[in-house]
Amino acid sequence: MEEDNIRVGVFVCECGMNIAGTVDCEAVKESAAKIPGVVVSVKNKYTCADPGQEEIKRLIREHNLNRIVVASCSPRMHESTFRNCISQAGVNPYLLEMANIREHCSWVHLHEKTAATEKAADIVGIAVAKAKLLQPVEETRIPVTHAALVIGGGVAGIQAALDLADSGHKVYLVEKQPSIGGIMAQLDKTFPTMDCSICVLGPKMMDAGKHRNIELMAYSEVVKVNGYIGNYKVTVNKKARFVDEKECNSCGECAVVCPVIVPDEFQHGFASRKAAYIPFPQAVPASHIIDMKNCLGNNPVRCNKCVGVCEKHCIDLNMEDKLVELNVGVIIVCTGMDVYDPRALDEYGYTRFHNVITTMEFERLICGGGPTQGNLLRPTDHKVPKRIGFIQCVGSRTVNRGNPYCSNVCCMNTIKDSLLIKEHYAGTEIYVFYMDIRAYGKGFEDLYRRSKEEGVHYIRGFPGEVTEDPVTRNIKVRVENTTTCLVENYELDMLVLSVGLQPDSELKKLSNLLNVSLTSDGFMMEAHPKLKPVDAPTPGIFFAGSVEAPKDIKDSVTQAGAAVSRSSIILNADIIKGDGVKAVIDNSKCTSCGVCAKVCPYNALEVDIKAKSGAKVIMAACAGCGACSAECRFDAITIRGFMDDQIMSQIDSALAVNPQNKIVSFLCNWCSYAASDVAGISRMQYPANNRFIRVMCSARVTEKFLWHAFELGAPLVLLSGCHIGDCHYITANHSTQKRADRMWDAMEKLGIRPERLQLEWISAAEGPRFVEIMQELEKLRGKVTKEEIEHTQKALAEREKEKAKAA
Amino acid sequence: MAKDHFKCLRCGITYELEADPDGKLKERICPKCKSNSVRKLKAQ
Ligand SMILES: Cc1cc2nc3c(=O)[nH]c(=O)nc-3n(C[C@H](O)[C@H](O)[C@H](O)COP(=O)(O)OP(=O)(O)OC[C@H]3O[C@@H](n4cnc5c(N)ncnc54)[C@H](O)[C@@H]3O)c2cc1C
Ligand code: SF4
Ligand code: SF4
Ligand SMILES: [Zn+2]
Repeated sequence: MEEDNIRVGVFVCECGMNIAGTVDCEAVKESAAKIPGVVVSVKNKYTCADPGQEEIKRLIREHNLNRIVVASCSPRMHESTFRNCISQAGVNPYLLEMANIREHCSWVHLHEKTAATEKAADIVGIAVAKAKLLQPVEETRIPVTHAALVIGGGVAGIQAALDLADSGHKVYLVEKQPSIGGIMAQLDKTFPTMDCSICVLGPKMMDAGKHRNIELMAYSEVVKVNGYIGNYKVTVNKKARFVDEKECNSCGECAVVCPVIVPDEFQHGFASRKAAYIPFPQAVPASHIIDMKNCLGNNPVRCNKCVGVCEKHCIDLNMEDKLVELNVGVIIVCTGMDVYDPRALDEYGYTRFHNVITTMEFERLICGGGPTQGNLLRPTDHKVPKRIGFIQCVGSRTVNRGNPYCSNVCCMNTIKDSLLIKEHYAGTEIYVFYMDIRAYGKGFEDLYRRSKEEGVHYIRGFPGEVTEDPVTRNIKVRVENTTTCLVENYELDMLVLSVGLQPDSELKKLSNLLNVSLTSDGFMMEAHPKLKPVDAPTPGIFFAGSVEAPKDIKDSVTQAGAAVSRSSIILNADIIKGDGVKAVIDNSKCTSCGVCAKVCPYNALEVDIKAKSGAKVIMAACAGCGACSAECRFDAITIRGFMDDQIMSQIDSALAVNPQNKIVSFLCNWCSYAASDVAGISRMQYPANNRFIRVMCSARVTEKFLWHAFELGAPLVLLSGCHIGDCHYITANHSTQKRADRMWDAMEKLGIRPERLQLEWISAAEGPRFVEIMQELEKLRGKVTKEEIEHTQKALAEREKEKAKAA
Repeated sequence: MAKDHFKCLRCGITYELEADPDGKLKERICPKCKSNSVRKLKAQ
């Protein structure tokens, strides 16, 4: 649209006395009216209220307005309200710009009325400058594939798959082991209800195995993921089982004739199995499998005994892995957790003393379906132990060896185990060595009380020494009881290490495939820890169960329900609407260098470097962070709603008058801008010299913007965003840090003090830190002299001349 | 153990930290003033 056809309406809100109490709104309205392009400038008591909105609509019609600036509160508060309002009057909702004169001005400069009014007029000027260059934006519309992929068939994955399937959605359930069930399938009884684990889980496993909407892919792994919310293309490697699982009726004849005997991993090595085997009696799919690593069928001798004995001819020793392509709209990750390996903490003797076992091994020993048919026998002499000790927190809550966090279920598991022992062998003496007992859930404290009433001894202190009597193979434990302050010695028949829980060893690999982040402890990261607790930051990907953090069965199942409900929002829609803020490529400038694709945290850019066909944006995947745009050296990418010329004009406007007194700050929408709002809401006061420019992500701020501010005489520039690790756009702010590093180097080369570009990570909660930074910036600004600014401008002008010459 | 050298562009102090063998990007925080305006200096 030609500049002449731009007709801006400015609506200055008094917000009762919230703005008008500090800012002279009449003066702001008048100053806006003088800006070229502004056709009408009015003042309202409350612009967001019905009369205010009606006035906007009326003036749009009367004055044929095509760009709207509302000067009021934060856009984080009312942008959607006003977008909705102007679209009702026939104006594209993206032709609105808000000037935040409340949180950024009246509330934070309560005692500086003149400075606040001047700043408010500047804020409106900056908004008008951008508004004049706004372009209509259409929201993206993404068609949805009506199917879901659930990765991991533990209790969380089974529950998620069943819930989705019951509500009519097609589900692919991919499990890497030969059977679904996860850890729960290996447990004996479960706290707090003490019910039989496989009796609860078994029927669910069977339901999942035969549900008409569930396609179970056991012994399979996801190897490739492409696409975006609503349209993921997933490649699954269905590993060769060497037995046709659909035909096999688990008669077990193959296992009978198989000559190979190996330790049974399901029984933690306390029993053996054949190379032709079924993982456990309740396995789903209820099919045998050939363990080809140990099979003699093909190599080195041709055994083939199982093939001969199988009447249904299900066995094919030449079967090969198969790649299967799936199209799904959503992905739910339920890959669970691993148990801590106590070999690293050898002072407890796990690798040296056979009568030291883990809680997981204990589960198999006490289980009726276990290697000893539920008879608790100690490994060395197969006698029933009379004195059993438990050491808590093995590999948990330790910074040096193991994991720093609490593993959540181990205290309750030990309490459960102590009651199981008492139930089977009432006379057993039980000692639990602990730091503190965490029994926070429903019914947990009751169970703890019962355990103490049954005579289980809880001793506060971790053993400093664990030795073995070489003759009896008993375990001797020396511990400082921190309640009595006495060093105590115990002789035990068996010692159980209550091992902690940790992320699955292959989660990192899977997270790379899915392009999702992990938290510092290696579990899945939430899009928002409070408001989106089962969403991954990548849209359309959810998770449930202990893949997010160690948790018990009830919480895993609850999370599965939550993930299903979040997924259903997408699966129930034919089309989902996406935000209009997206990357746009100018193919006349793009050289297909591929830099943009490397920095995009969402894999939303496709560049065929060889074909030189120009970068392409996958609109549905692009989140609009702008990292690509800032990194493109050919100015070939811009971001709708945050175009280069729009931001440049904001900088021009911010520094139009008395630039030497102004600090230009780029704030990211999600964290540092939110923190500035918190400062405002809390009425924290800071100097009025700062001029803010909102971007969606700090990664959007190109070097060009920063240089431009210095060219115009800015004494100081702030670049700020979310803390590293908290970026709303996964890792986009890594580009910001790298860019700041490049800028500092370049500034130094040009004789410009690097100190004049400040970088701060400020979380949405850090209002006080935001204010402190504003105060510190003002001190730094005071140190920048007029001569220094002039020198900078000269150096930059020189640089431009040289560039022009070289061109 | 290799060291990385840093300068705080707010308060001006310089300090060193053990280099991360993985070269993973970590948040830089000035130990004195807590600013993130911390510049990694070229190897000395
Ligand atoms: C010793 C012990 C005792 C416990 N006792 C109790 C108790 O009494 N009560 C209670 O409430 N909780 C108990 N728990 C906790 C309980 O086991 C968990 O809450 C539950 O297992 C979590 O289920 P999940 O589905 O999230 O994970 P998991 O059970 O770990 O299942 C994850 C599944 O995903 C599969 N998988 C992993 N990676 C992939 C991949 N890349 N692709 C495909 N599939 C994959 C795994 O093979 C597994 O089948 C205990 C835990 C332990 C260790
Ligand atoms: S960085 Fe720029 S020039 Fe390079 S491929 Fe991407 S859009 Fe094209
Ligand atoms: S880098 Fe950000 S803006 Fe660019 S394509 Fe990727 S998500 Fe979109
Ligand atoms: Zn400092």
